[in-house]
Amino acid sequence: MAERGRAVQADSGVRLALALVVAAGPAMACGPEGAWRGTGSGPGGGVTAALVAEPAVRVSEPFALLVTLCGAGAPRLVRVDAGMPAHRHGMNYRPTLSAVGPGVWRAEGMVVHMPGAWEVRLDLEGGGSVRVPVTLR
Amino acid sequence: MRLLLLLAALLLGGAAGLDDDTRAAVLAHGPWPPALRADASNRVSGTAAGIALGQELFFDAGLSPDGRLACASCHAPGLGYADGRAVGQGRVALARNTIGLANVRFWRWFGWDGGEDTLWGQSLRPMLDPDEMAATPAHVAGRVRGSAVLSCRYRAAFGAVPAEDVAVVVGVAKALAAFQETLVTAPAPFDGFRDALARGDAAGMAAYPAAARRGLEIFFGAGQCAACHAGPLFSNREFGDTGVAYFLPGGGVDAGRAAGLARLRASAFGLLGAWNDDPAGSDTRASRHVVAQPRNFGEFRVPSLRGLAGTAPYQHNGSRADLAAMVDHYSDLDEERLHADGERILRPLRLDAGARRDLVAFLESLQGPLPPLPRLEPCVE
Repeated sequence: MAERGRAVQADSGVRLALALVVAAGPAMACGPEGAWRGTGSGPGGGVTAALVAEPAVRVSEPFALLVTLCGAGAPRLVRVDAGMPAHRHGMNYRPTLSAVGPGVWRAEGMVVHMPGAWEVRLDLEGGGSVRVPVTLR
Repeated sequence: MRLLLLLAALLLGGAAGLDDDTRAAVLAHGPWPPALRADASNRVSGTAAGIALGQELFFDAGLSPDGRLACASCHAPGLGYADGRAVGQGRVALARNTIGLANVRFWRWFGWDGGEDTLWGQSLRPMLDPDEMAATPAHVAGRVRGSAVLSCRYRAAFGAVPAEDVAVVVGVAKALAAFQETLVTAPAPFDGFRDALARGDAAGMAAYPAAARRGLEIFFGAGQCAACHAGPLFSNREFGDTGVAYFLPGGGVDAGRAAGLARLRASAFGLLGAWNDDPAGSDTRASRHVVAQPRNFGEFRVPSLRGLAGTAPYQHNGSRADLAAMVDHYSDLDEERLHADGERILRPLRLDAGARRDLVAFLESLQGPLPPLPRLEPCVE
């Protein structure tokens, strides 16, 4: 009985692991490896976002964000902003957006002016948003 | 030998007393100075002739119509290129503290309100301000044309003295900027500690004064000062509300960054204007994307903590007499005076007397000397 119990537990563990991989699959597949990621929802349902900075983010230095959106209904990006939830303030700059390919946008003119925990907010066409945590040392 | 190894281990243990976050933060505040890059918007930036013209002009009271005020009248070399007053004294008492010019080349926005995005644009403003030097383009151009020395140096820098008065005064401003770009402080005791930390030099780290070391741990630790005083310049080069009153002595308020942004938009003498010598080579991203927000009202620039020697008193209105008073301000911060609704950046540090002294010692360890003024060689054509 004990071995069967262990066998049942092992089987449950494998199934749980598989379930987690399946659930994470879309997020893991969205955007390049190493990107910052977050999830949210849009008009078509769940949305995953992947962010890559160009060049690498340095405090108070301008950079661009390459934003990849993945999800049902081909979500479209209309606005990018960022703030520090703990400090309750945003950026002093408003980036401009340009589409660079299917599901990919470039947000130019980002500047984060403090080290610490930021949250990038991506507003979607038709409503909804994705929030992506980004921590800068 | 064993004793030396033990001593080394003890010293390294002391250095390793910095936690990972503090260590990373210390390293991120150097090296000093940062790489010196010419300002692409200013074609005489970094040129010997431009710098010489700028130095000549900086001390020339003839730039003001009554011959009373030169740039150096308010930006005195012996006072950290400030004036030692609470607020500047032009033709009238001004509203704001005179900012010292040490390391000014590293700024993105100039003035307490960031109303200019070029050093040459900022250099032009007080010349033409009726409350300061009260000059006009015609007067400045006439001064250059009428002076054998200035016109010689102007031709050496720019090739010719333009016929258009505004072009001459913009050239004057650019030369002044080129001179001010040379005012870079030498590495300070903190930099010795930071660089020693970077190379794992225990003896080098041990040379840093103990009080400054304790103050360093407050600055980067519980004080969270590096949230705003970030990077090698010890400023994030942005603006903030620190609970210092923005009411003006004669009534009214100083709008701070809000006013600066309005001035920036209206100025023809900036990165986005026609006088930029190399728009394609200039980084205009910040100027193109900066946005005015309600909280900008009453925000003032985050000063660099380098180059403070000789520039007391402090704050935009000169209301803090010295570094000890600055530390007291943050230690005893009255949160009710913070007027940026909803922000939660600052909180009173509640330091005891010893910790306050240590924090002052750390701030003092950020001060490196300014370079001596070189002797100008005669201008020969």
